[in-house]
Amino acid sequence: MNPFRFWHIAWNDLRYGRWRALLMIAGVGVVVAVFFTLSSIAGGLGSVVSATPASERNLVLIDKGATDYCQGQIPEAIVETLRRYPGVARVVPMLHTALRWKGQMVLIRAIEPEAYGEMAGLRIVEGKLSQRANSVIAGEQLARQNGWQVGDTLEIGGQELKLAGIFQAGGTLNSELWTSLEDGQRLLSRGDSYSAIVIQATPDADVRTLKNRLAGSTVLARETDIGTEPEVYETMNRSFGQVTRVMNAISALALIAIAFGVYNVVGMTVAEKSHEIAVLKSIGLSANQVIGIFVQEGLIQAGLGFAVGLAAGVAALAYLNATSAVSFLSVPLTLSLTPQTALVGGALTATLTLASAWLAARRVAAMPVAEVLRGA
Amino acid sequence: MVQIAWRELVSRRRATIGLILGVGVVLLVFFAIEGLWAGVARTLSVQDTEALVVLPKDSIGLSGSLMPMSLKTTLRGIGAEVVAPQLLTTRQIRSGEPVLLRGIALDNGSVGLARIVAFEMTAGSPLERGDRDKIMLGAEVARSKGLAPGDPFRVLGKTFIVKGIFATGGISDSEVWLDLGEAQRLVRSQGFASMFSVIGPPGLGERIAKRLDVDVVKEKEVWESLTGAIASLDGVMKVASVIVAAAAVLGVMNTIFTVVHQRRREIAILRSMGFGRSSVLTYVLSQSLLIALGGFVIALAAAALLLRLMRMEAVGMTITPVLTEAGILRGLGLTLVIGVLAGLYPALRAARLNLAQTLRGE
Repeated sequence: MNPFRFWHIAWNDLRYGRWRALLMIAGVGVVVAVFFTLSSIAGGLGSVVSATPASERNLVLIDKGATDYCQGQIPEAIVETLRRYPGVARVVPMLHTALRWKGQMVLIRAIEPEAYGEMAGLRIVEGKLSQRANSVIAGEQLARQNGWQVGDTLEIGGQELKLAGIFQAGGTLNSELWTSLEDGQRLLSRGDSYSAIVIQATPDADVRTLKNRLAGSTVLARETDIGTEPEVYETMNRSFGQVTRVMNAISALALIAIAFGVYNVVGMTVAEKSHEIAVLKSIGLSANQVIGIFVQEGLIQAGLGFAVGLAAGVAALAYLNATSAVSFLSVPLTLSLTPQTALVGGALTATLTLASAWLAARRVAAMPVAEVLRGA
Repeated sequence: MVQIAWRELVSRRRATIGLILGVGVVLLVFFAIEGLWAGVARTLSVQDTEALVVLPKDSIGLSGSLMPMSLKTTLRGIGAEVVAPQLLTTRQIRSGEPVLLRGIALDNGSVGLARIVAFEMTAGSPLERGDRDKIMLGAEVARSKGLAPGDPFRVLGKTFIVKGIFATGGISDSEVWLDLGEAQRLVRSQGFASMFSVIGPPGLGERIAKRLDVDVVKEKEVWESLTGAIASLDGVMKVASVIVAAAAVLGVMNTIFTVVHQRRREIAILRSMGFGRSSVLTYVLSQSLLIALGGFVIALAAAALLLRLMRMEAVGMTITPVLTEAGILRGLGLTLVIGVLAGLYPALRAARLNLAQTLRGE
């Protein structure tokens, strides 16, 4: 039996009650758009750390048990030890923390800008790399957000720092302020220790072997945790795992409203069309075929609503991204609609619509044809 | 007219229940988001004490900052009667299981401790001077790890014994307190503290800030400033929860339109008998408001259960969503807006019915 045999009846019925259908489509659209927005925020939050460019060929040392780059004090002596390992091309120590600037949070990375910049794909778009003391370079997004120009003097942490350049790099790096290691150690009172060390493997080295060799060192294993950049970021992201799950659950909860909307609209239509339903049944349509017509009505409305919601959701995300309107700890979240989210949203919408439309339409089966036609 | 509206809703109980549940779901989303952020705000809070905290200039939060211990002498020299260095850090006890560690100077025992951090013991006893192998657990840590006084607790390679469990109603409930020296040794920060709690005569804070390049604030303010760093996330989610209410408006409006359409003849008869436009407006608006208020009650009851399930941990902090009175009032406000917006246009249409045409059946 072709369930879509009478789709034209469903379509014509919707055209007849177009205002009701339009309200329904708009309602579903709003819910779907909100679902996509909230899911994308959850996704953006869940990958806030991994939005930093990461390479499988880079290893990261962080303090034992540390959950972020801001914590920990890795002794300076470890840098020289690492440089002597075979297979190590470059060792880049860094300090990373957040400071307050005019009431907002600014992420500061103290680093050897040239070395790390090359690894992170940094490109200077204005000014130059800071070479002198008490100077900084700012990520393009951060500079734009605060209206900073090259040559500006920023007072941060009680020190005056000159903005030498503006850079472009991937992901969250665009929202950071970079300074030299020496300036950073003074600014952050870190003495001669680092909060993380990035190690770049030589092109011919096997990164896993190098990692195992470093992890096998008694000193390094006692004081630090070692992993590839993606592994370390993933561990940091896990800290937000439960928050992400809760936010996804809230967004999915919103979709349940669609079920009640469809139930009501289909239920009202069935109640209003009892005479027409009786006629259809009297000329030979089975109860299931008539139920199918109303389920199709629900599916068409929900499908169109989903399309509207998808478009509105994509537009809302584009706007939020363009204006960097959503940030977490000063890192603008990258909100993107993944195919998986779209599929999950579509599948949930279809399932809820099918179930609720069928529940609302099933009273067709019990409708007494003769009595309805008599107008009793 | 409200009574007639009520009877109308009862006569269509299937549709009414469906609508109430639909509005309820939308309001539940609102309460979930409200509760989540109220929980975050409560987590990022501490009870006030007489102590001030001294932090590096412009630092955000307490962990990650480092100040030399030599500052203790300087602060005493400026007039501080009590100077208590503290070290705050987040460390994983197992992969993906971070805890907040707070190393506290125990020079003046538990009495001195209570002067700088407000807490109440819920089990066991507080740390005293010389308790180097013992720890105190915040209530949330004890609950999530299922620990009680006397249990072992292993962190960064050392096993401590839980001496007591304390509650503060804020961020410290997610903390593990231990002797400062032990904390410094474990995270290799000997000679450094994250902050200094100071108690002294009036004007001490101003004198310290004037003499040293530091910030002197209440600890409460430090944690509260962190909520500012997630304000945009909070704002966008709350806006989304209000936008989803538009779906409820459209859904209820759809049904009310149908009711008005089906009852237009009865409405016309009432009008011809002398009922005014305002009575018709009341009849229609009452229905949408009753539906919205029904949804509000359902959502409130469901939120009480849902928020318990939403307890979560992030970066070592336990966030317990809570529904505040202000949140409930905002929800009620949104409910009334849904009710009025959903019913207003159909009500105006009903009030403007052409009586003659309607009664003729045109």
